Amino acid sequence: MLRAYLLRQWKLVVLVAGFAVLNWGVFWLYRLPGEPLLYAWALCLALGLVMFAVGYFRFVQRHRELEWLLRKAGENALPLPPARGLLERDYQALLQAVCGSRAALSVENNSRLQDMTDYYTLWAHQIKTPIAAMHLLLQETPCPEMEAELLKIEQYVEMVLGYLRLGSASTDYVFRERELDPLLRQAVRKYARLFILKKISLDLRETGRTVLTDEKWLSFVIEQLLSNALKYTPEGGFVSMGMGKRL
Amino acid sequence: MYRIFVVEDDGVIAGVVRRHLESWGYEVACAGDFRDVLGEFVAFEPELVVLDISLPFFNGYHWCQEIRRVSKVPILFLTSAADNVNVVMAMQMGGDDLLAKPFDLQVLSAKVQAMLRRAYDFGPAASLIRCGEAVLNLSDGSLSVGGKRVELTKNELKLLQLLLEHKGQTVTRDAMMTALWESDSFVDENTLSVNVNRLRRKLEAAGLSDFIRTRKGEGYLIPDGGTQ
Repeated sequence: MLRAYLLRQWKLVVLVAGFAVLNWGVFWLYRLPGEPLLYAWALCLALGLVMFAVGYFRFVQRHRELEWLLRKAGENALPLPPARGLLERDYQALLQAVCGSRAALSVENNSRLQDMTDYYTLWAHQIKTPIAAMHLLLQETPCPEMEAELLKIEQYVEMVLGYLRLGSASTDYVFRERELDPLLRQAVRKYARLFILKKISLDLRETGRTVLTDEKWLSFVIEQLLSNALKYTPEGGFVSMGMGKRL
Repeated sequence: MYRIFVVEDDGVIAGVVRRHLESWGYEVACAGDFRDVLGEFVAFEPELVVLDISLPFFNGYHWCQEIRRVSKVPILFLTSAADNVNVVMAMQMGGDDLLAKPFDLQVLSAKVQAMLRRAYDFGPAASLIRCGEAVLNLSDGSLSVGGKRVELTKNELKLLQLLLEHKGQTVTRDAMMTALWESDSFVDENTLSVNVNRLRRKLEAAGLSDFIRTRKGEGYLIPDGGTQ
């Protein structure tokens, strides 16, 4: 910090040193006694040190204020300290203009994001109707291959819905102690048809564990993992679920 | 014969639901004019209403409230969005139950039966399935043949119940595996065969030979009347 302040004042320091050298040079050329010069230098040095200390103290204070403002940089309005001089006023005006522009962009972006979220949420709910219709038709006239493809479509729609809810500002998490095994079984039941249609065997090892979690979102994560496992396991293959060692 | 009024704007869903409920012996009418659902309801006088939430002109909640002004008939909501908010809303609007799309037709008919039983019958649910000398008691999960109790495992009981509920019809291996998976028994093809064979051996030991028949390439069936 001291070095930074000195670098900022280097011109003044060089100027004062230059005056001192000039004074000494003149006294020496005129063969005048050095004692008055030294006394004058001592008085100037004392005054200079006091002013240096005050200046340094203000410099440190200003630096801390600006550091605090940097932490607040995410907020719309920056509470800037009063400007000292014309150049500082200009910089502050520029900063306020940039902040204002940034805030306006942020509002516009949030609005666009919300519109898009609303649109795709509505789309996801509406697409469930033809999916439901196809499910019912398949129950009347079974076709395992079509059923498997329909299940995949349904999974992708659920994935979209889950992703939209994840990014939503209204998402609230409810953390409770939950037994893990019932959540695993519930997820497996949801994908039972795909296991059966692809003739994939399941080895589900009971964990006997209780976890602190949001049930809905943990179920979503487990279902996504199962979905991927089923997607990338060939027909007649094998999926194993259980608790591994703690990392 | 109970009358069921189906209010669903998707023609395919409405048609399949109607055919399925009619196969269970209900008289079914589907709403035609979605601006006057209440008028059609009053004219048909159903004992139960199956009501979709997303409808043209007015949503299902609106029609539920309108129906509730004139009737206490059981109402089963159908919805694509079964999150907590929608469930609570459906119940608060006067609905009795809610079924999320896509749904299984068997679940639909089970809910309809339960709602009708609660609203109009006062006896207990039928819990005995008989076929020849075999009597399966669903309330305590026991099988008796000629008065003698036969011990079955959970899987064997589930399979026998499924076959008896569809007696006279072939039940596919897929359907059997689905039934087991839904009761948390995650069997594969081999395990299913093992379970069916074990069940057959137990039934034969109890005097029911050839009770479960194999339909090659299709599945299994219990003929109507048992061993006949």
